[in-house]
Amino acid sequence: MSALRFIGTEAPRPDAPDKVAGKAVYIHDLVRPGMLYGKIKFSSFAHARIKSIDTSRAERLPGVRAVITGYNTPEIRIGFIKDNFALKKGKVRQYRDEVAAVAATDPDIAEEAIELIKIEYEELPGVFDPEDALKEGAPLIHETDPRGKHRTDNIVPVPWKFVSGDVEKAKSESAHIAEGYFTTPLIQQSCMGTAGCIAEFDLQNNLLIHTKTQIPFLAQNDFNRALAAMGLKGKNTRVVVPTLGGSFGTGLDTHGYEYISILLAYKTGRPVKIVLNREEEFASLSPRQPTRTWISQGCDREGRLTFRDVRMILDNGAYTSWGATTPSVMMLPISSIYRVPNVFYETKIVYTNNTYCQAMRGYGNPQAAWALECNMDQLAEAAGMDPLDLRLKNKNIPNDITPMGLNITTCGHEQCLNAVAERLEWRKLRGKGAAKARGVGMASLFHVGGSGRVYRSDGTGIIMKLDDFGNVSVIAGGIEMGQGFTSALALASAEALGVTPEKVTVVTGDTATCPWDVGTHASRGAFTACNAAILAAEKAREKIFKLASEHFMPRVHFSLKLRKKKDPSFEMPDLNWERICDPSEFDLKENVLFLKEEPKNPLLRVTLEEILREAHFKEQGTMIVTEAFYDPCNQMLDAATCRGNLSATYIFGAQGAEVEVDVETGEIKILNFVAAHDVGRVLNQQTIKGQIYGGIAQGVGYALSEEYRTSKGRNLNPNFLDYKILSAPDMNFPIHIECIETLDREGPFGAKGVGEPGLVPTAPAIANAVYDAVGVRITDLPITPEKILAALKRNK
Amino acid sequence: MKRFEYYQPRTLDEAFERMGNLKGAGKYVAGGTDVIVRLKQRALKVDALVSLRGIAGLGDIAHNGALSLGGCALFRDIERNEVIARDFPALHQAVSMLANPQVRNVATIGGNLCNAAPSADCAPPLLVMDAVITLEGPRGKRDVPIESFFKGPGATLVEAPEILTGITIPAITPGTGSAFLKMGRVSQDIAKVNAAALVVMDGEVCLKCRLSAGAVAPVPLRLKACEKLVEGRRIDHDLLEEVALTASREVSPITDVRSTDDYRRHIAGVLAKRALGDALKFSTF
Ligand SMILES: Cc1cc2nc3c(=O)[nH]c(=O)nc-3n(C[C@H](O)[C@H](O)[C@H](O)COP(=O)(O)OP(=O)(O)OC[C@H]3O[C@@H](n4cnc5c(N)ncnc54)[C@H](O)[C@@H]3O)c2cc1C
Repeated sequence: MSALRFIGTEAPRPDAPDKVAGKAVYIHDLVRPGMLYGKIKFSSFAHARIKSIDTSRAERLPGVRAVITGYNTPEIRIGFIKDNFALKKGKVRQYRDEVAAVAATDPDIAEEAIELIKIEYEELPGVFDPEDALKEGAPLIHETDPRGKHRTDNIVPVPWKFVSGDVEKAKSESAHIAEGYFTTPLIQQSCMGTAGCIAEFDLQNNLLIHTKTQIPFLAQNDFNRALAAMGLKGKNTRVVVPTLGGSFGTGLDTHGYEYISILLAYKTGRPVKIVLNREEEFASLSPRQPTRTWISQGCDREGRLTFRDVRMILDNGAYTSWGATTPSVMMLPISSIYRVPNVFYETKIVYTNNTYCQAMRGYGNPQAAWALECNMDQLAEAAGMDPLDLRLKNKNIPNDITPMGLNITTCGHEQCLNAVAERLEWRKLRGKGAAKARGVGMASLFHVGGSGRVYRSDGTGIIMKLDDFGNVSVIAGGIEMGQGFTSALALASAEALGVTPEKVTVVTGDTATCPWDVGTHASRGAFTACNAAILAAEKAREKIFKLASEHFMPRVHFSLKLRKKKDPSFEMPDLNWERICDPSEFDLKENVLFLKEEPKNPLLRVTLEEILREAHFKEQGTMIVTEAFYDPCNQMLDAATCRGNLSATYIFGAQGAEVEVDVETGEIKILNFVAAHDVGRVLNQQTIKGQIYGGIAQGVGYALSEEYRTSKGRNLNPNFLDYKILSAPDMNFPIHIECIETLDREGPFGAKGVGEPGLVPTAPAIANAVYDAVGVRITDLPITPEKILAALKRNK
Repeated sequence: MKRFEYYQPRTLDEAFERMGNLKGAGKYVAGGTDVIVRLKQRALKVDALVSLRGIAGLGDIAHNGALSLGGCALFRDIERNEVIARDFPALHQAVSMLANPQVRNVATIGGNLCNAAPSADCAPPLLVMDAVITLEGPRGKRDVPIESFFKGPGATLVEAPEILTGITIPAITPGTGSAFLKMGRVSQDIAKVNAAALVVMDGEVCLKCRLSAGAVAPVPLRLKACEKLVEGRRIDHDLLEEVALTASREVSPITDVRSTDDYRRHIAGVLAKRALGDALKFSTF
């Protein structure tokens, strides 16, 4: 590959200034003519029968345009296995169940109207602990399945099991075994921009919805089905995505509030906006699932892993989202991080009357890594080994096929481990800080790096449109939600096409104009879109060179003649001006076409825009628009065996922390943090660091302070007063980021996906460091001072 | 949030009259960082807010030995006041750790006290400094010692339409040092526990000791048993440990979403001890 001009530079994000200055238009800012404000009445119980709903007083309130319930609207089924409804009838199964909704001329009236709706309930016994929900005689959350068949237990019909080798035999033959039990709490994604949408119908009953989503095309499909359920079969939805203030997985499903605003808009004939306020966002969006993990791992005398046995229970909450598929991603590290021949993994997902869960950044991997990487340290201790040595001994290697069928190609695992060890002064510090209650810890990460075939298509489309001034619109199916998608795509498009990045405008977020994409998830945005852009750019270059073969020499001649006119002393070179060049003679770099033979010749150059104008402004002229659909070479998991090469490449990394524990208060201070990630290739230095820093900040929050607290299904901390994410003053320690470039052959310019992994190994790295410092192992996140102090007391 | 009226009187009398006319359905607002939040959370409903920000002089800070702070003195101004940083470090520290610069630019010390959260960060320093609070109402002025000011969570001696117009902190004597400590879940947080200490030293011997802790009882507390222990003695390691134990016994914390009673009890001891140690370091002769 020739030298890269823009890829790998420190390039400011094109969307940054508007966002910083408050000019970007989020759903909160958006107003449509005649718009009404919708508001949802949520359940007052975690589990109850609805006896009656009285909406009469709300309907009489001046300014109210519609009041709807499940009883006066068509039934719209939603969710991964369609066990949820836009509006509930019969019974409620969680506090956030939508029982009624209003549309009114202003938000205050809507709020008042909601309070005027009176609902009579008959409370039912609830179940809030997934293990209780598995017990015989536990209250049934769903009496029937979506097909109407009677249910007898609370197990979500989405089982996950992976078996390779013979774990029981390996157990009996292992020299050392370590067992552990690890749990993770509910986590709220904490987007700066809360969720919301505006739904409206045209007079043909086609739907236009501005909404916060990561899956505009799948959402379009979901909404079209809802239209069919409303008797509008054959009508179409146009999904438009405004600027997003973070999404972190919240946009991977369609939500009750979206369907409710559709119903309200249809009923009123006016645009209806529903935006969740912060409390509603906490109480009525789906957080990351909590997990309970029983794990054991063993190794032989030399420290080679012999088996891994992992059993999990996931609290699904009352309904099922795409989050029920997170075990497919948990399975990647569980089956394949470090080389281990015998693996048993099983996950039960269980209905409870808690808030229903969803995927969040990392798609299950942070929960899996928490158990795996803490247990690795436990095993190292059982085997009398340095945890770094145990990791190095079992490290992943390039060109290896794992028992799950993951085809590992490029792999910088060893470099990552060594980079962390070196930066952290591992050999000097580990095990030596007890006197000062200081310690070091590390953890690895393994994640999809080349998208992940969760759906049958893992594709993404790109349209590249060149105008007569050499501007390039790159029209993409992916979504910018703050991660830097547009920046990566602009750089890659510029590089691949041969223009400068400021010539590129990335257009996203409109199902009517943008080409199809399966969704911005699985760290796939840049990986897939940049690959598609490279394909589209190649097609565009072909077309450009074809035009150049006709127009290049005449244009050169024309501009030299002009020059001669201005400067008579200029010596016209003696060239064949009529020559039709062959397209293969050209190259295009930084908006300028030149002959490959004479790249340095200052006379033989024509700008791209000149050629495009020549081709455009003439009789029978032309323009250049190309498209490409990139679908990575990866596989869906086989449903029965859970085997398959899910991703086109895999990302590896390691993070390490040095911490100091205040033994009187149990507080943890991070002294130093190192992250080494095999990213394939850095596309933009600035955004990649942003992604990793941001991931670490979320990871440290996961480790130390974040916890969505509930009591009998009700959220106790629905705001940032009591749900503690970190803010800038908490990130007051040095963070060193090392990007290892392994130049993956599947990646655009060699790059792998980097969106999610930043937070995957953070919590276990910190937990392991705490253990090294004070000999206390906290197994339930978050690692609070209360827990540390209690454990220190027990240890005494 | 229900709609409400907003008034901005220019004088105290105008404010009293407004508030009187609202017959209990009004609230004063200074920075609004408590009251607006509570309105939005619907923990509070009002017909009107009466702003104190238009009343001249209420935000002043003056020092002539004693320190007087207007009821609407902004945290940002207190934080930046050099005399306060030098002579009243516990107050300076409490204010510098409170919330974030955005909140400190609008929030007031009077609002902090009148809101009367058990965790109010200004309370412990003012308690150890024996601050006096001035309340003014249509029938005149009264001074109350801060110790008797708090009545319970959210409850104080202020009787509507009274306004907290000033806080007076007596001048420090030579040998005085003070310090404030706070523990939150993250750096910007309501205290799980906070504590302040003030000592007046005569050489090695502590002449006067004041200790206080917040978020460990329905109101911010003076730790009088600890104070008694320390006064007249040299402050050494053993005494500090004794203080920690005694402080843990003097408090009566609860378990809530922020922490547990056991942990708070323990931390009250640790912070009391550490604040005392820090106050000693600040003490100058
Ligand atoms: C993000 C955030 C972080 C915060 N962090 C902290 C923290 O770390 N520590 C802490 O202690 N607090 C914290 N607070 C709470 C709050 O900022 C403080 O209590 C602040 O001092 C309140 O002052 P104010 O001027 O904004 O009060 P307001 O909200 O205007 O008023 C509070 C109450 O006092 C009454 N009132 C105000 N002034 C007077 C007066 N002069 N006379 C009579 N009544 C009066 C009002 O009627 C109201 O009932 C935080 C708040 C927010 C929003």
